[in-house]
Amino acid sequence: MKLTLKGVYKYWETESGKVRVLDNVNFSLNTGDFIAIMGPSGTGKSTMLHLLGCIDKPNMGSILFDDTDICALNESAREIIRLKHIGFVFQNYYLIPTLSVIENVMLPLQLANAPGNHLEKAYRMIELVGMESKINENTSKLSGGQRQRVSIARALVNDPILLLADEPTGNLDTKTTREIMDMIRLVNKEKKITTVMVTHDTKVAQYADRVYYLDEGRISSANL
Amino acid sequence: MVAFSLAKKNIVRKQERSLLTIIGVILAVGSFVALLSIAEGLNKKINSEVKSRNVDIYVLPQGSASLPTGPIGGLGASSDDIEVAQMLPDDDMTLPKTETGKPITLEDINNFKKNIRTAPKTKGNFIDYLNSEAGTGDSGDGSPLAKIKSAIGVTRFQKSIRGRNVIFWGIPFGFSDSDNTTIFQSYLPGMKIDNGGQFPIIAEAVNDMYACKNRRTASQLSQQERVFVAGKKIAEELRMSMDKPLNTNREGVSLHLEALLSFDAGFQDYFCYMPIQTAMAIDGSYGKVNEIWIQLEHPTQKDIKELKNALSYYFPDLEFKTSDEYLGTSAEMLKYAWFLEFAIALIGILIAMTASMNTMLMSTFERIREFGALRAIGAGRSTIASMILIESLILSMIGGIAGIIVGILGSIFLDGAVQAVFRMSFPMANITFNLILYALILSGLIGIIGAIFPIVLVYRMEIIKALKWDI
Repeated sequence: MKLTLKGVYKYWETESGKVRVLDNVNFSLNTGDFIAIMGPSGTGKSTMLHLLGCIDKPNMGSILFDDTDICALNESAREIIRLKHIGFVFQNYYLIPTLSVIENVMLPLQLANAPGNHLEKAYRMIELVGMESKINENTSKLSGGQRQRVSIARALVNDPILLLADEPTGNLDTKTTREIMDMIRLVNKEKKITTVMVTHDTKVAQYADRVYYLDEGRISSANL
Repeated sequence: MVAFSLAKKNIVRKQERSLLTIIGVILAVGSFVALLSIAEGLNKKINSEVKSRNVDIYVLPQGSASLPTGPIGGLGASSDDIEVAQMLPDDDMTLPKTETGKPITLEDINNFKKNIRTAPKTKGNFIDYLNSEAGTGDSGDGSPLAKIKSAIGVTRFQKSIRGRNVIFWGIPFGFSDSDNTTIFQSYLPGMKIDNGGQFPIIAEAVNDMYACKNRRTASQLSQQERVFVAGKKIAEELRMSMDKPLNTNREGVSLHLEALLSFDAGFQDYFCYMPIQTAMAIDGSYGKVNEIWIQLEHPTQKDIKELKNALSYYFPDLEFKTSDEYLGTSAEMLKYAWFLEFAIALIGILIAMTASMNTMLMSTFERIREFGALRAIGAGRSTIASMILIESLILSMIGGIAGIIVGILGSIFLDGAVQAVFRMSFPMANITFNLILYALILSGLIGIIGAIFPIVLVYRMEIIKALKWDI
């Protein structure tokens, strides 16, 4: 899958006028690419991730998944893309606290009404992230690192083509950060999942193939 | 399925709040069921009461249509003092009398009718008209009146006995056992005499009364005439005994119970019956009846309508009602009772709806980030909406079902309270299938209305705002 951003503009309407967040952003990614986006706070890193993840729309420009402009799709079609083709990993994990580890991981499969044995598939993902010993544990009882592993398993369970990670290690200690990043890198390489990661941490950014720097809405390649 | 599973888990997550919402619904549905069971019960009882009588046309005074059935007398809206027709005290009073085993004929009735005339305000003379138009009972002349098989005047009064209001019906008992059985079974066909016998003493009382016509007050009644028969249930409830006289507290009159009766339907089991003369004397309304019940020979709807029209034309000051109309008037009044009780129950329902909406709103606000995350991973708006709706419905339906149980228990309590306050002798509350159905629909409505606002909120919310939501 080729992911292309063409002349993407995004601004927020405020009382004092328009605040430009993304200003003519252009870049493209091929299957299995792993990029990191860095930059100061409030420069639009997360906004870009939201645009790629179909949870927001640009004011101008297009975002192409191969030849399909996802910005032109209606909400139902975007829901399906989010569900079946995109995996999200959040800094705050956003696991469902009433569900166990396995139930959280099974959730996207159930929402997508995916074929096959959901339990088996979810278990394989949990095994992949090394959480099989906690399978029936309630997620509220897990540590931050463990929650992020579960979150990664949930993001991967529907075999997405694009993995979006928003500060995935922002709340984790150094050791756990390393473990999580090794895992994301592994998944990127083995499953050939295009990965876009937003981070403040240069050490974390080094896991990516390429690093982009976002400042005042403009994107540029960065050399770390 | 996912929505159901998530909804279920969330209910368990906030147990205290869920419980409070359920309690709110229980109280609303419980009060709805308990209150309306009284109206439903009254409706059902009056329906079966009227249907248990074999009466084709009721004759009532003009404007006396308000709940004419007997039990309402027990509720205070009595029509006891309404004068339909007057027996002429100076005339010979001849009640329908037949030879043993023979049904009462039109001639017998006309003999009875001869001695009745309408109240002075009535334009014509009821009996004169009947006699002149229908001859002296000869049928087959084509007149609608010729189709009359029989008619009886009935009266009723109520007495407080051991703290309960008991309704006594004055019935024109005959001079023999078979006459009495015929009259009863003809007009109240479900009647059975429990202790096997007929009414020998009642017949003797009637004979005695005709032997001495001037007994018009309670104190003038002979011991022989102070008799009554009782429905089985009222006799049981008030521990009436055939060995012990029943004191009516009126001029020291005590009555003797001669037989116990049981009936198939209606309030009949809660009434007492006595010769009409005894009833009039005790009630101090000698010569007055409350209603006249008319039966037709092989009645068709057309016959009934024709007779009713003919009677209405000549006697505009009297009210003629078919059995359905008679019931319809009661039903009309009961509708008001139903709406009044519903209005009272509505207060509870509105409180429950507000509580349910509040719970669902709080629960939604607490989970907005969770909903945002669900939307981000691909859950549709409809999935989230279903989740909120299901959660609200589970709470309201659990509350509804428990509320129905509480309502049933409440109706027993309320029934007792109504009986005590109004000093009624018969139970009113009745839990019908329709009432349960309405309660379940109402529970569902509480759930749906409680979920509407949170659903609208979630539908409008942008995913990014939801993810950044600060609780």
